[in-house]
This record gives sequence, structure tokens and C-alpha cells, in this order.
Amino acid sequence: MGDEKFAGLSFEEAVRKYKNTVGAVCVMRLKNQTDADDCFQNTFLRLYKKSPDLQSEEHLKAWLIRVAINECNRFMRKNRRELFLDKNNDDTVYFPHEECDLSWALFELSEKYREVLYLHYCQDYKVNEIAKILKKSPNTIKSLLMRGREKLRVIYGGDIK
Amino acid sequence: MKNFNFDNMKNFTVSDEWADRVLNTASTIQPSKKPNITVITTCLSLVFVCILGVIGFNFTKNTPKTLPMDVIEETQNETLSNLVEETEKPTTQNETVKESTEHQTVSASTVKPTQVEEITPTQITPQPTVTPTQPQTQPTPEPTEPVLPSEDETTEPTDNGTQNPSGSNGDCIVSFSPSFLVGSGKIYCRIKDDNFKSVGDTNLFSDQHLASFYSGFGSNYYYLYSPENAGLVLEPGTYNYYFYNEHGIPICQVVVEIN
Repeated sequence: MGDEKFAGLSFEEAVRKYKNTVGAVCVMRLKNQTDADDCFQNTFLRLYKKSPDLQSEEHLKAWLIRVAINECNRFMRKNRRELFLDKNNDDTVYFPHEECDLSWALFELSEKYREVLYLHYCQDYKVNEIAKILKKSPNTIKSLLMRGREKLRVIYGGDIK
Repeated sequence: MKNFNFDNMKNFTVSDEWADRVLNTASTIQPSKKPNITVITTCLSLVFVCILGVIGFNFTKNTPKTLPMDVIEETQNETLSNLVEETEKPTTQNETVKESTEHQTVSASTVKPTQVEEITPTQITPQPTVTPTQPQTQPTPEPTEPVLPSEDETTEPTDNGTQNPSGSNGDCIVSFSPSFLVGSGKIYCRIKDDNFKSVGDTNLFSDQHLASFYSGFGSNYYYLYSPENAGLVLEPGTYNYYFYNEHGIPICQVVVEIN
């Protein structure tokens, strides 16, 4: 492996540091371990091949999330039919129904709400940052967040603030 | 109020197998080499400078240089003295005359065109009664097509057979390929007699010296200068017609005999 640096990190350091983030994005989008693994691989290999000029680790993290989402979208487009047929296979990711943890409810949401809520609540991104990553306007992100919370409330069946 | 969270999702972890697999795959792939920006910039700058140089060179080459009038006069006098010396030597009619691509021809209605001189490669049309001469300082162009001497003096030695002007005494038509020497199209003619004394207005660019556009067919432009129309009455004798463009650059010289 070359001695390329990615925002000051070697490739291995970048993989070890951001594997959970990229893995979670892929799982959150695809809800399937095997598919998520494929997109995970593609995301980091794209980083390695392209060697984008990234100024800081924050940029690197945002770049990886953006590319992971794109890889998942590409994967879903290519395998739309198979995904529909194999909706409930062994690799599907489930989270236990807990009283306070809404991860399971998040997985019940449609993709567009799921990714915005995930970035906001799990990755602690602000509205403007999410807008930049997803290349959407901040107002769109705000309304997606609001509607996503509404839908979470419906799914959970109680008060969510 | 319950404190909701997404801790399960937040603490989602990926097994090290995934990372190891990525690292193994990456070790077999050659990372992309980023092009050195400095090298690219330098190369582009060099190319740009070369292009500018070529453009500048062509521009300089094609721009007519305006010479001061005294320099032109000196050049003319030198050329004319050469001409006088050479005209003393008799020449035969069999001399072939070479024509270059950047050529001009001379014709006169009642006069005999004897010599054409231009800055670009020259061409001389000898006539039976006139001795053609060629300046020694000018390079002889590569022969392309011999021009036979015209037997009929009123026939114009041009390839498209343009007619002579109405037979005013001393009228002269010059033709030349359009080139940068012609400029915007104003051609002036100054007449000097045997003693190289100017006839008419001393100002070269006066209307009196303005030659009129006679005809043009793309490859050749014909300009007519009529002394009679300019109000000049010429005595019989030999005259030198000097044609200039609007910048004062001599285009050609014609020796005209008026009987």
C-alpha cells in the first residue's frame, strides 16, 4: 500500500477510525449486513483510488458519508428487484424494541427521513452540515427532520420530543 | 418525560473483518497518482508562451512597416541609379521574364510598361522597345511561368485580360495580387521625369496622386492612374511612375514613355 495521506491519516488509520461511521451509514441505508459490507468496501476503495484532496478529518468524514450514501443508492438502483424479493433474509439488521432507544423505529422510516435523522441524532450534524453533505437546501433538511420526527412518533405510538 | 435516544444505532460497530478486507483489497490496487500541479502549470505556461511567440512573430511579419519619407526617397534614388546603369545595357527580346506568385503586372494604354519593381519578389515584363531591368539587390523569384513579351502595346499583360483605360496619354494601370501592401486600398502614384524631378504636388498623399481602383477579381486588383485626370500635362518623354500604398510604402515602379 502506498504512503498516501488522507487528511493527515494513512489509509489504514482512516479505515480504522471511520469504519463504524461508514458501516452504520451503509446499514442504515440498506438494512442488510451483506449489502452494507459491499458498499462499505466500495466506499473505502474509492477513497483509496481517488485520493481526494481533503483538508481536515471533518472533511474526510463528510466525504466518506457522502460517498457511502452514493454507493448505497447505486447499489439499490442496480439491485432493486433482488432487494424487493429478498426483503427479509438472514442478513437483515434488526434492533431490539426498547423503551427509550428508537433505533428500531428509525429503521421503520423511509430512507429519506432515516438518513436525515441518523445524521442529525447519531452523527450530531447540524442542519446546514447535513444540507451540504446531502446537497439539499437547509429548509428541505428542516422539513425532513420535522416530518421524520412526526413519523417516528406515529411508529413509536407515544410522545417524542 | 422519557429521554429518547438512538444509542443502538449510534454505537453500531463494524467488525474488523470488514476493515481488514478493505485493507487487503487496497494493498493489491495501485493508488491513483496525482499529477504534479507545479509541473502541469509550468508546461501550460510554456505552451502559452510559445503560442504567444508564434502569434507575435506572425503579427510582426505581416504588419507593414511605415518608413519615413526620407528613407523611401533614399531607397528610390539608389534603386533608380541602379536602374539607369542597367538600362544602358541593351537586352534582347528573348529574355524570359519570370513570374512569381506574389506578383504584379503593369500595363499602360499608350505607354510601354518597362519594369515593375516591388518589395516582394519582383517580376519584369520586357517590351520590344524597352529594356527591362531588375534590381540587383532583390532576390529573383523561383520561375513559375514565363510571360511572353506583348507584341501589341495596347494589350495588357495580365492573365484576365482586363481592358486598358480610355486612351489618355500617360495613363497607367498596375495590377497586383492583394496583399498586406495594398492596405485598405488607397494607392498613390508619384510621377518623376527623366531627371527624377517630381511632377505635380509635392505632397505624396494629395488627391492629385490618388490612383483609382480600376477593377478587381479576387486574385488581382487593378489600379489606374491618369495624369490627365489629375490635372497634369506631361510632355513627351520617359517618366517613372511610383506607386505607394497608404503608408507610403512603395509597391511598384513603372517606366512610361510618352510619345
